[in-house]
Amino acid sequence: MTTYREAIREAIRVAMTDDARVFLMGEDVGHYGGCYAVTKGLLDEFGEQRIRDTPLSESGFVGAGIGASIAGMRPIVEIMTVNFSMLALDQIVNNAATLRHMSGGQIGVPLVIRMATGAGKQLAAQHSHSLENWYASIPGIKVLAPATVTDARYMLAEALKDPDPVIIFEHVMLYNQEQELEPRQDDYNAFKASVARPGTDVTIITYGAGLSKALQVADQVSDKGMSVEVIDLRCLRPLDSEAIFSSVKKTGKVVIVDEAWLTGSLASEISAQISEHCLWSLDAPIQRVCTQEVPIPYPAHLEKAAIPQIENILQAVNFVSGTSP
Amino acid sequence: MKLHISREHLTNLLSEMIRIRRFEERCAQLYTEEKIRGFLHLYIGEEAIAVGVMQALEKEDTVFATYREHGHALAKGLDMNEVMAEMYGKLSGSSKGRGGSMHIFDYEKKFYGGNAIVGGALPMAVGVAMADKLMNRSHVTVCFFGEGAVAEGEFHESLNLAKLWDLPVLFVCENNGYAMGTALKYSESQQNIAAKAESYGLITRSVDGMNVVEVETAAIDAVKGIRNGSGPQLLECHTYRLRGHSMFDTQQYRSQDEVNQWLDKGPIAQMKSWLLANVYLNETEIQQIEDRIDDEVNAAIEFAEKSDFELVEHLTRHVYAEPLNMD
Amino acid sequence: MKTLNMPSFGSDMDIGKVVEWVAKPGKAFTKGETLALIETAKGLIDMEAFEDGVIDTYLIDLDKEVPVGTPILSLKYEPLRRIVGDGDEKEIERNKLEEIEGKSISAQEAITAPLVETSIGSETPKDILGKTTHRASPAARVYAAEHGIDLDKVKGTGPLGSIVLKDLKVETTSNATSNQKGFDTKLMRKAIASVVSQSKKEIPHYYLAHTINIETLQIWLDAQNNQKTVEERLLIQAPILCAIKNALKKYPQFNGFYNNEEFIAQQQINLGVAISLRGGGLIAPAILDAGTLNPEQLMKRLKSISERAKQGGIKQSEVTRATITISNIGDRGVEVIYGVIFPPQVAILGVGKVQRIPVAVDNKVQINSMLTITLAADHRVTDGHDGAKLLNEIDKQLQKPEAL
Repeated sequence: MTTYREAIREAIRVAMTDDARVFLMGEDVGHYGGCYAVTKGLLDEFGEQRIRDTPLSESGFVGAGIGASIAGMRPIVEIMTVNFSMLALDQIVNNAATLRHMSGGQIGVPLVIRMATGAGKQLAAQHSHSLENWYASIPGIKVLAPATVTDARYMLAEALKDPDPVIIFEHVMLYNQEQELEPRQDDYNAFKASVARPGTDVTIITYGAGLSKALQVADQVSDKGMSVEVIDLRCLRPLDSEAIFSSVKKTGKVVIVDEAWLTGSLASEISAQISEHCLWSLDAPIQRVCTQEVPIPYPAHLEKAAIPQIENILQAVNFVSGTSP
Repeated sequence: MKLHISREHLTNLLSEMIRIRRFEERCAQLYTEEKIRGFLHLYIGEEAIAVGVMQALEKEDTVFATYREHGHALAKGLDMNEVMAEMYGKLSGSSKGRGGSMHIFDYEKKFYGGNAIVGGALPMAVGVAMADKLMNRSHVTVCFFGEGAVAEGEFHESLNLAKLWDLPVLFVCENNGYAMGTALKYSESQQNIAAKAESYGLITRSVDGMNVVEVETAAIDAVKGIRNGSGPQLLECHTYRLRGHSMFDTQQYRSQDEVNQWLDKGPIAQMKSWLLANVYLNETEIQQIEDRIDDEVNAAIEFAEKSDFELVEHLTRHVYAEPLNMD
Repeated sequence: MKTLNMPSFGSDMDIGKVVEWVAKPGKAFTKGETLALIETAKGLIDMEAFEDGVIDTYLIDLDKEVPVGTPILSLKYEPLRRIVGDGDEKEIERNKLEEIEGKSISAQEAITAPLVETSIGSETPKDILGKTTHRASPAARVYAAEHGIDLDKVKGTGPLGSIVLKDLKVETTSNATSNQKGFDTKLMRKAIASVVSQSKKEIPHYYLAHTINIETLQIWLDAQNNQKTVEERLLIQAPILCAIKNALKKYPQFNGFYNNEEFIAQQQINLGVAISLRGGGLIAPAILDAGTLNPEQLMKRLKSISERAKQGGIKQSEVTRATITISNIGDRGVEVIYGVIFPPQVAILGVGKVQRIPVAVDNKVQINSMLTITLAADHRVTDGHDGAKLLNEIDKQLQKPEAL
């Protein structure tokens, strides 16, 4: 059994051992051992040049990552959390995402950015954002969201191989998650969705921390004879529309679980795509289970009420199937 | 400081500046004729800085610039036809027409672009220098920016990072006194920009940006120092923008008198009068240079006019290395 | 006449007006001089001369607002530039640029058809019911249209009381109970007896049989089904029906009605499918208008009528309008069936079971899947020659299942 945190650490270790061009920089990644202890021990193993503590200059070091990747290195930039990434939004959106296009295809940015994301630890409004949807809406970058230990272990290498900027979102509630680490399959593809649990009556589409909640709901309702299919998106840009449509056409009933705020969420985008491509297969309105329209509050009961919980997902599943709880 | 003042070299410097000047003037005309669209930021009056600094660089040194970068592109050696075609938005442009006036790129020539975000390129310059250092290359990265960028956080973050990690970056501040329409005194509590850089530990120089020889000499010194491991440096060049911030600028923030005062102090005017006074060149020779440049610019315009636009069917190219099939 | 136009000072400038003329007609101006003061939304801007010249006349009035690009000044031609090159001083007309200008295309012209396609869903089944006033899910509407169910009569148990798929599947079975009376076995046998007697009395049948190698078809079918869910699987009847209707298009003399000593071929192909009912009944409802359907669609329709035949819900038109009948005895394990033609039709095809038997292929013995198709046809309309052609065509069609 491996934890999500350990899996990422091992991924970084292996990447840096295999390729001298790979280095990691970010706040407190070295001497502190990483805000979430992901990089603990790596400073001793690889030294200060390659596990590089940066000052609190998100824009500066993300831009530096861009420049370094253009000039031949393969940096992994760690932004402590998505909450601080907004300080680097200009570099990400106006440089990383656009350089290839603005230069007419001459300059690529093979940069990997890792960020922690999500709520659940009573860290209040400024430390609990889920902004994956912002990044997933930008042409020029790719966005991954590992929800399992296996993906935490193997997605990084795929991101490093990619000639375009890739952002990896690690949900804070997953770092302690412990699972069997499965071996890497030959056809491993980080940029596709997977069927985490096959089913025939209702489809739940989710990513990140939503996966385990969706699976729990699927278990619960299977006792009542309902067969729920759970799709783990894994890649948020590009979205695996084929996998989504295939499942929806099979079941006709969809629930999308997304920790972003409802408005403009990725769930909304998926919903639009489903209604454009699968309308005639829909047997019920599409349900989005997202965070309520409020900055994340501090007290536990309010935070819990704000973000998608098992009860909300269950309610949505029952609604679409026309069953009572 | 050894001044490099052979006739041939100075004539060369003059030609390069006139080349930029003429290019910019013709662009202004084309803009009023709606051939060039969007924003157009002219380098007129500041030519000495791009020309002077480029003298100190090797081909493998990387240059980052701002949206006022046509002069820097030409001085770095980009093909004038391609730059003009890019202004027109044609497929034969340096960025395949995708970028326009503010986004001229040439990867081969290490010209990593104009950037429309003030201060946006400084962190990237730090990154390239970082890679050069980690990969044991002796290249220098030069980042041009205006004094307006000094107010942005990225200026401070970048100078700090560059010095902290001892990186081979030359920061060149083109201080023309105005950030769009805002004079320096309205935006900086400490107007001495060199002082700010010194506070981060950078070696700094402050020169007359209207004197191409002074700029060149300072740049050569700075770059030599950086290649020998001095760490990052800042070169501040005092200059003046003879035109508005961009084409659609009524210039209500400064008086015509002020502009007029600078006309005679411009870098081309200065160099011309010096060369004439010292009998290095005569009027006919200068006219020949100008005519030759006129021809080059006309040819570039003709090239741009005759070039094709990219097909609309290819709209979604150059977003990713491989097309994704997002629909 | 050479003109200078209202200049553009920016993409957001559409109009301007001259508020003061600075350069005067007849007097030479030099490059860089101000020609006029232009008032724009952002304030006053000088219009500068990009080259030396002489104004001929002003073309617009002061303070008149005009769009960017409108001619405002006309100039006298003045030779001004010299080329110093080969020693001769040549005077050329300025504005060589004009020649170049004439050849350019504007950005507008470069853009042809809009490129971005709006994303439109790819499935649009033919008959979508939109007429019910009840809320019904899209999937339910499609199902209802395909099965001839009246949504107004269905009670919905889906979200917010909407009609959903499961409500329709209940619907058909309840239909069955209410229609059970129509399928009284004794009465049915009497009806059948009457029909077949008449048929044998009046229609001179001739019979042909043809054994078809369906190895290729079987392989194709398996490959297709590998990619399909259990629900969507194609039975072998589907491509066979498809081959039959394709063949009928070529040989329409088998697809029609014989009445009053006259045969009239039918444009529409309604494939009657003989279905035996529990308790000893037989019914042959038609897949109406099968001409344009592909195997998947035929499969769906076949399933639908089979279900409805067994549960009730077959429409009158489906029974009386078959233009030809196919009797498939294959799943009863019999190799060959010769049918009795249902008047006024003029043919009936029989499909036997799939057999795995040794056959000669390229002078070698192989085990292949084989199937025998028979034709019983009205000798007043066609003869053995035509029948053979029809059966051969069906064979041919089945050898290229991907083209069905």
